[in-house]
Amino acid sequence: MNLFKRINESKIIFRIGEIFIFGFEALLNIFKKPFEKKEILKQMYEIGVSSLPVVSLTSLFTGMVFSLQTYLGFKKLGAEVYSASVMGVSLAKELVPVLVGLMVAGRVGAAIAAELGTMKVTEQIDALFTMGTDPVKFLASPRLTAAAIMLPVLVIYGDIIGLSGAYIVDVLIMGMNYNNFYDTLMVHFEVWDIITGLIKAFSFGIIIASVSSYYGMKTEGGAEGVGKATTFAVVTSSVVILIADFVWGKILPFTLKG
Amino acid sequence: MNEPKIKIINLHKSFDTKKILTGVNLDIYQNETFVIIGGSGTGKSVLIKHIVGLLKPDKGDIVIDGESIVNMEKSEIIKFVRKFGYVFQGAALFDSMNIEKNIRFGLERFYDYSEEQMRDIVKEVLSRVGLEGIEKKMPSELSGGMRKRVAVARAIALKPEILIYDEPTTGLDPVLSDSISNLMIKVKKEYNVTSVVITHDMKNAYKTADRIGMLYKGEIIGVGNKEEIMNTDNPVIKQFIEGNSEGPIEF
Repeated sequence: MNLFKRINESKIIFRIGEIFIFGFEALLNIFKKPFEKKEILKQMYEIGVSSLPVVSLTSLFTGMVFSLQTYLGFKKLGAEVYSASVMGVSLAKELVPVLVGLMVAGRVGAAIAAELGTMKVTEQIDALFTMGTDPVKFLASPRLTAAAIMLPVLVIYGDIIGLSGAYIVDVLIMGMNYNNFYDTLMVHFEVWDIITGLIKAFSFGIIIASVSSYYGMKTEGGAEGVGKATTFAVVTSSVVILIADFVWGKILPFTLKG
Repeated sequence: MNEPKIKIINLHKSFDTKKILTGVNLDIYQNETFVIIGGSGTGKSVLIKHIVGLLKPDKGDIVIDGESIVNMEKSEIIKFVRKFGYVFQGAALFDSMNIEKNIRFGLERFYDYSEEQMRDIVKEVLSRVGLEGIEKKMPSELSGGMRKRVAVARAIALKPEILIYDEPTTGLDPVLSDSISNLMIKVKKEYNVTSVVITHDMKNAYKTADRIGMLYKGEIIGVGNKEEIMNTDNPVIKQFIEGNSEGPIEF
């Protein structure tokens, strides 16, 4: 009983419902005129280009440490030449999309919630409305479009940097033969692995933008409210990304090869 | 008498269990400046947010130019509110845009003005509020009084029929407050707008109002012109306009 009461008091079911409706409304508004091209381009820069440093660092070190551990683990079995095959699939399918998603949720999700939250508490969002502009269409939809486009781009970029990290460790540090590295990487690696990562990234972009815009635009109560909105946006986006990652893992086929 | 421009009928609004408006009835006529006075936290802002459709009432109706806005869809309200100009308490300028872009925001979206026409409009509205040459400044570079003037300029650039002022003089020194009152009178004359003002600054109210109404405990308890309000027998209104802490008002 206590648990049900707590769930009820936290209004979590209500929030989930509201975020869904909000995200759906923002999604529909993307296709309605006027298309906010300027806003979309600005947000693509903010979400995509500005995230390059953090995505580079995350992907590079994830690629390096993951290839190091798989190399050492496989070495125990005397099969270190095969480590690259596991590493490549894992990076493209899981590690890069999820880590890029989480990093962008932290960086961009927080920025979106803080910016829109400040706009809300200073009545700028009400001002948009009274000037005949739908705030969801003007603020949330361009962020959603930009995030849905840029997350997959960041993931492709992250895949390249991650594999470069793996190359540095396996070939340059551990001394694996380059041809061996390349051949074993390609044994299990297929284009579908990259596509899986991109499908995930696309959905993570939608999740980050809708959750963060929702919390930003619902902010109440001044500076403290903005702080809370930012925290909720990052935590909720991150949790939903992890859940969505598992759901995609279950839905999407592991391989398209027979 | 003419049909009212804005007709508020038996408006009720609660937040959770707290009743804010408990049956507001009010008629506001074309070209008048109607000032709603009332203590802090009595629901003045809530009332005017209903007029522009930012809030939906629990019960009651708001009829503007013969059209009820309560049952309108969001997209209809967004079109309808272009009749309004809204000067927010904190000015609510878009802080990511400079002053020119703030004023051009609505112009670019709803009119087919050429670049030159738009520049002229921005120049003209800024000169009307006494702030020439600040087009390229950011809102954060302006003082509170200047921001409010820019907010008025941004509103009048879109040629509204109804101008709403939310606490236009709050936070300003007496001299600046008076200059904002003068600006409100000037705008009313030059643009022929119907104005709805909420304030607890009686000096501003007396200077700008054609009629004054007091909101107390969720209802409008008295309406009259400046003289009628000044000479009222209503003990609540009397206490409020005289600024006494002793009397029937609960706070």
